[in-house]
This record gives sequence, structure tokens and C-alpha cells, in this order.
Amino acid sequence: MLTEYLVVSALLIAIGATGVMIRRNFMIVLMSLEIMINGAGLFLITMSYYLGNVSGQVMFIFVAAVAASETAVGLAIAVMMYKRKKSVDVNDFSILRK
Amino acid sequence: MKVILLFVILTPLIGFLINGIFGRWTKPIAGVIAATALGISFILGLFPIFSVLHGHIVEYTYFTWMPFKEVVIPFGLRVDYVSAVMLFVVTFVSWMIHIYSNGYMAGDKGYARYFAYLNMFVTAMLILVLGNNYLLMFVGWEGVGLASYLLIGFWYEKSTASDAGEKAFVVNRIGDAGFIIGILYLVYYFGSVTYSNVFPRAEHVLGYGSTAATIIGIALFVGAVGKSAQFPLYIWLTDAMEGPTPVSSLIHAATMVTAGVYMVARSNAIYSLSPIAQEIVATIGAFTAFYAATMALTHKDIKRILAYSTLSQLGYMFIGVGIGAYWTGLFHLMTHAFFKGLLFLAAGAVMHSMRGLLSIDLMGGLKKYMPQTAAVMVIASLAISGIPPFAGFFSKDAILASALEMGHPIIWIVGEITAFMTAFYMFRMVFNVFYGEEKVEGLYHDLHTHEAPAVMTIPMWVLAILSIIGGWVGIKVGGHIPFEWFVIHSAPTTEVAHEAHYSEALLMGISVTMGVGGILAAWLIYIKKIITAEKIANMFKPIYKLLANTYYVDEFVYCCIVKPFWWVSTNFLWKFVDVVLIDKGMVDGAGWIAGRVGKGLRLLQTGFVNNYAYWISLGIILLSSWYLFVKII
Amino acid sequence: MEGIMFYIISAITVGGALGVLLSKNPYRAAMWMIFSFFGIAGLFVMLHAQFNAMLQIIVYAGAIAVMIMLVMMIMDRRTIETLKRFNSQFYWPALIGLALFADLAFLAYKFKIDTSNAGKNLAINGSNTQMIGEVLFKHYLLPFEVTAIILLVALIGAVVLTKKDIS
Repeated sequence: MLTEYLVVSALLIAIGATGVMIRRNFMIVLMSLEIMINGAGLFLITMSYYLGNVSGQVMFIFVAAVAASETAVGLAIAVMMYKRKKSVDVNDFSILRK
Repeated sequence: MKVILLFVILTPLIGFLINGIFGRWTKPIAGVIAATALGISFILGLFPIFSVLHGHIVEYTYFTWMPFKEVVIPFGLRVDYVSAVMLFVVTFVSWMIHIYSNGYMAGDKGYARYFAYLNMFVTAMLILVLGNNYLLMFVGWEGVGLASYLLIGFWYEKSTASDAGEKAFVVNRIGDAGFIIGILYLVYYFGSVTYSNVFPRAEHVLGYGSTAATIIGIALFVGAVGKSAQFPLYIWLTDAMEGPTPVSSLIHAATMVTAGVYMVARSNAIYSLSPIAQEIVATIGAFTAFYAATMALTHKDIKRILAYSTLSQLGYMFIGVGIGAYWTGLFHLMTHAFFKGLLFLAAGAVMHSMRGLLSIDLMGGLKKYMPQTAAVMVIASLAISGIPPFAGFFSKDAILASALEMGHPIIWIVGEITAFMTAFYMFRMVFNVFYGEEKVEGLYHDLHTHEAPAVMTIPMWVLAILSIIGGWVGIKVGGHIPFEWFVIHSAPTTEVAHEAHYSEALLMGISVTMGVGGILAAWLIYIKKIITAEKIANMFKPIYKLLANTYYVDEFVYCCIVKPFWWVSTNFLWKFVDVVLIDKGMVDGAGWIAGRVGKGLRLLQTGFVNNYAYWISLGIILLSSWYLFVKII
Repeated sequence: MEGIMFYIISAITVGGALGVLLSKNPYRAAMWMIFSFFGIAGLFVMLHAQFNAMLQIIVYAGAIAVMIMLVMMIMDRRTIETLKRFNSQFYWPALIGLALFADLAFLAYKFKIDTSNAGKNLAINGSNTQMIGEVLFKHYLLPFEVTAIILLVALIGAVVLTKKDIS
């Protein structure tokens, strides 16, 4: 069963990464990030179960906390971007180049 | 009891948080909050003290603070025979000074900030005293250092005050380095820093007279030298007088500077193993006692006189713990906290009514205007001069008598001479300030000099009573000295091979003679004016100048340490290393290389977030492929 | 039985994730995301991580999803709904994603560990929560404190970023 769980985890990470890469809507980019993080979390929990060590589950708590802060900051950025340009299209925001 | 002991520390912390966070709103009652917190802390602290009096050492571990593989450092509190004394002194004297500060600091614009710092200081001091391991002591040690820095520089608009704060902080760092080295050695040898784990095993692990014990002892003592302002790291203490006077009283006389003495007494198991370390402690203590007393002879600033006097008395304490009679050091620590705290408070009351004037040349005859302050000042001065039955007599006599009995006659002689000087300079100050005629016509009238308010005089009287009766626990009852009997459970006196015996009455007689002689000399010079002070100063002009300029130590430090440091910093570190090597060579060079590379890489910078995500993903693929093909297949 | 359950729940999880990836409407995408989160919570239960399953539902499906929805509420609906689905060039990134999956899946396939302890040491007296508490507060106290600071920093950062007076 281990392999199956890991494949699910890999699928989540890959789908999330693809979402970040190809979607235009910043909100969906954020959601994709959440999915990626969950893929990593699933990996932690799986290893925790198969190694018989609860530390992985504790790590997941930290991952959850970090994900929550990441979302908070990401959403704050989204709100600010929206205020400035009335848009959530990531392609409208390329000032990092300058 | 477990919760009570924790709350001894937590109540000042809560006071600190209230005044620190809500200072803007609690300003009118900040002092009441802080003093109440300390009062509660003192009363709660009595429970563990009574438990110790009944013979039960109180020790609790609250949680594991730092679990390392072999070394587990707990957060635990311990009240034994040594820390019970300190707990009582710290909470009680702090309480009194908090009450006093209500009057002294009234109207200051940093009122709430002041009490927040003061409470923070007490919290840190209690952690230092009550912690059951060296690392926790170190936390408190640094905490009191921080509080001291903040309070010395409390009036930070004055550049002298903020400079003095920095000086204290920097000089203390040197000592702290020694303390850390000591702790690391302890971890190395014992695999633990908990007192109950280290001390019983000390003799077994280190061995009597071993180098390891000496190194640990000296390293820890370097920390004590910094914190307790012994020679040569004493230079910060006199500048520390820039802070508010109650702070000088609480931190730089009664509690924080005695932390070093407490630490040495605490580590008695280690010092008893190393005669060399003990000798160093006692010698530096004796030297500082003498050296600081000579400097106090010539100063004209009340607070500086008291500061040098503190140095000198701390020297006595180190003699006590250095010769191995730990109880005498702690005894003097306790009585000193009472009378020196009181002296500073009285000096503060004088300053308060003189609008901050400090020079003894401007005062005289103040007794008429401030009778209560004059009375407590005389009591405290008698106590510090070692006149029976005041507190200082018993503790100082105990130290000097044990020094002689344990075979240190030179230290005894130095101590007796210092006792004479102590009495002289204290009464020089008292006579100049409170007796005689007004030196400046109409000054008191212009300043509206008046007695301090009750909120200031009551704490002073409480400490005055303790300055009288506080030493009576050192009176022999049925062949035992109660204080010695109490402390010796936790800090047994080091045993010496040839204990000399002298007539106690004779030793006491000599001590009293020295004290009375000093007072008499001051009386003859400053009241009777048999010979004026100026004449003496002129007779010994070189010595006088040397003393008045505090042996030119500050100038020496400036010339030989600060200046070369600046020179090296400017000419080598700045002009060569920084400008040539780093700026021209590394920074510009790196910039040049980065510029070249960047020109190429700039094409990758599209500014589109998605594109960055591609590169990250490609990186992951590369890494995982490398792992797959190199490690697995 | 367990195998069947696993496949059903995995299908929910992966389906939800694909829904996020493919749906044009962000509100629908958020719904798909919650769907996927519940699936993951189910997987956690199957892996004897009951506490984390509840955490997953409360924090992700609850807090984070609600937060994202709320932010979308304050935005103009048409601006965010009428956005084109993908970037102009999405073939290559999609390929990269596929390659990533292939890589990771192959790694998973090759991954071998000692599973003799599987399912042990995860609970005290049948309570997974108690076990996590023991380990978290005994061995991971410092990281726990640091996490608290991170949350605080994120909080302050979010407040600063969304302050009104930024023009």
C-alpha cells in the first residue's frame, strides 16, 4: 500500500505545481499551492504510519501552521494587487523584472 | 508549594507585563501596581523560606527546558539554605525600594516605563537566585544585565547616561564570556548543569586541587568580577550612578552586584576543591576593598562616594567567600543590602530635596531641614563603619575573624585598614552634608529644601531598623552562630588544616577601634577643624591627585585600550581591510562578476510568476532525477 | 475492503485537485479544493492520524478555504470570473508537470523502507492526540514556539500589506 499512498502524494504535488505554472488567476494559484502543501503533508503522514513514528504527524502540524501563514500573506498580497490594478491576473504583475 | 514558588517569580513578571504593555494607561498607578506585585512576591516567598527553616529544601522541576541527547536542562526552581537568604533579601529590599520609588520618581515622564524595568529586573534577579541550574542562573544573569543597562540609561536624553549604560553593558560582556566558559566546562565534565547533580559529584569527578576545578573556579569568578564590579572590571559601576538613585540602591548596591558573591557561594563545592581559585577570589576581593576605599576618600559627589564604598564592601564579601567561609560572605551580603540600600535611599532623598545637587561642597547643616533623613543616614553609616550593635559590625567582624583564623593574616590587616578608611569616608560625607554650617548662603531657601514625603521615609526607616537588628543573627547563641548554622547546610565552610585561634574579644576590639578611629578622625577634621582637609590634601598632593582622579584608570583604559582599538579599527580594519580588500576587492569584484553573469541571466527574468514556477519545477525534476539515477539505479 | 476504500478516497482527492486545476470559475475551484481536502482527511484517518484528519478539516477545509472565499467575495465577480483559464503558453509547463509526476511516481515505486513497525507507536491508550501532545511538547517545544512567531509575523505582514493608505 505504501507505493499507492506515495503515488497519490506525488499526483497532488504534480497537479499543484502544474496549477501554479499554468493558471492565470492568482486565487487559483494560491489554491494550487495549498494542494501542493497537502501533497507534502500526505507524504509525511504516510511515512509516519509506515515507520511507526509519530514525529511525521507532528511535522504536519508545523506544515499546517506555515501553510496558514502563507495563505494569510498570499491573500494580503492578492488584495493589494486587486486594489492597485483591479485585476487578479498574474500576468498583469510583472514588475519584478524591473 | 510548587505553584507558590512559581508565582514568586511570576508576580513581578505580571507587573512588568502590565506596566510594559499598558503603560500609557496605567501611568497614574504604575508604582502601586509594581509595589503590590513585589509585596505579593515577598509574602509568597516567605512560604519556601519557612519550609527551609524547618529543614526541607524546596526544589521543583517545572518542565524540560532544553533536551539534548546526553545533557538535559530542566526549568526548575530551588530554595535551599543559600538561596533562601538571597530570596529574602531580594524580595524584601526590592519591595521597600519600589515603595520608595513611588515618591522619588513622581512626576517623571517615564514613570510607567521605570516601574516596568524595575519589575523586569526583579524577575530576572529571582530567576538568577532561584534557578536550580547554572544555565537558568545565566538567563537571570543576562536579564539583570539588561535591566541594569536599561535603568542606567533611563534618562537616555542625557548622553552621559546612555554612555554609562553602554559602558556597563560592554564591560559586563567580558565577565559573561568567562561565565559561559565556566558553564561549558561544567557541561563537559559533569554532563549536567543542575546544582543537585553537579555538587555532590564534584569531588569525585574533579578531585581536590585539580586543574579542572581551578579552571572552572576562575572562569566562573571572571563572570563574578564583571557582574560584581571587582578589580579590574569595576569601571562601569561608578558611571552607573547616572541612573535614578533608587536604581543605584536596588541594582548597584543591594542586589545585582552581589550576584557574583552569591554565585561563588553557590558553587562552594567547586571552590572548596581548588585552593588556587579561592586564593585568587580572596586576593582580588581584598585588593578591591582597599583600592576602592582609597578612591572614596577624596570624592565629592555623594553617589560616587557610595559607589566606591559599594565596591569596597563587595570586596569584603569576596574575601568572605574566597577564604572558604561562605556564610560570612552571604552574611555581609545581607547586611550590606540593608545598610547600603538605605544609604543610597537617603542620598536619593537628599538629591530629591536639593533638586539633583550632589556635591558635598554645597551642603552642610542639612540636619535642620531633613531630620529623618539625617537620622537614617547616621544609622546606616554607623552600620557600615562596623560599630556594634549595628548590622555591619557583626558581618564585617565575621569575615575578618575568619580570614585570620583560616590563615590569611595579610588579608586581615588590609581589611582592618579598609575598615578604618570606610568609617572615615562615610563620616566625612555625613559631617559635610548634615552637620556644620550651610556652605552656600540661602541655597536651601532657594531650593525649598524640605523633608522627603512619608512614602519615601517609611521604607527608609524599615531598612534602618534592619540595619540595626539585621546583624543580630550573627550573635553567638549557645556556641552556635545562628546564621552560620543556617547557611552551612548548603555551603559548608572549607576545612583548613591549621586553624588558628585568637581571642574573639581582642579581634572585635580591634575592629571597633578601627571604626571608632575613622569616625573620630572625620570628626576632628570636618567638625572640630583641627586641621583642614585642604591642608592635608596639600601635604600629600601627588597622592591626593592620584586618588581624586581615581588612579587615572579611566584615562589608562582610554589610552591603552580604547585608543589602540580605534587606531587598529580605523587604519587597519577600516582603511585597509574594509576599503581595499572588501570594498575594492570583494564587493566591487563580486559586483563585476555578478554584473557579467547577470547580463546573461537577465534573459530569464521575465517578471511573470508562472515562469519562475517553471524553473523551480525544473529544479525539482533535476534533483529527483539525480537521486533516482545516481542513488537508486 | 481497505483497498477499495483507499481507491475511492484517492479518487475524491485527486479528482478534487484536478477540479482546481481545470475549472475556470474560481468559486467552483474553491469548492473542488474543499472536496480534495476532505479526501485527504479521509486518507489521514486510514493512516491512523485521527488528530491530523480533524486538523485538516478544521484548518484547511475550514479556515483556509473560508479565507480564500472571503477574499474573493470582496472582489468584483466579473473581473475574476471572466479571466482566461490558462496562460498563453501552457503546453510546456503542463509537460513539466507531467514529468514531475512521472519522476516522483517512479521514485515512489522504487522507494523501499523497513515497514515492520507500520501502524505502531502512533497512539497512547488508543489516543492519537495524546501521543502527538507528548511528542510535540516534549521534543518539539522550540519549533512549536518558533511556529507561533511565524504566525505572528504573518499576521503582522498581512495587516501591513492590506493597510488602507497604500496608494
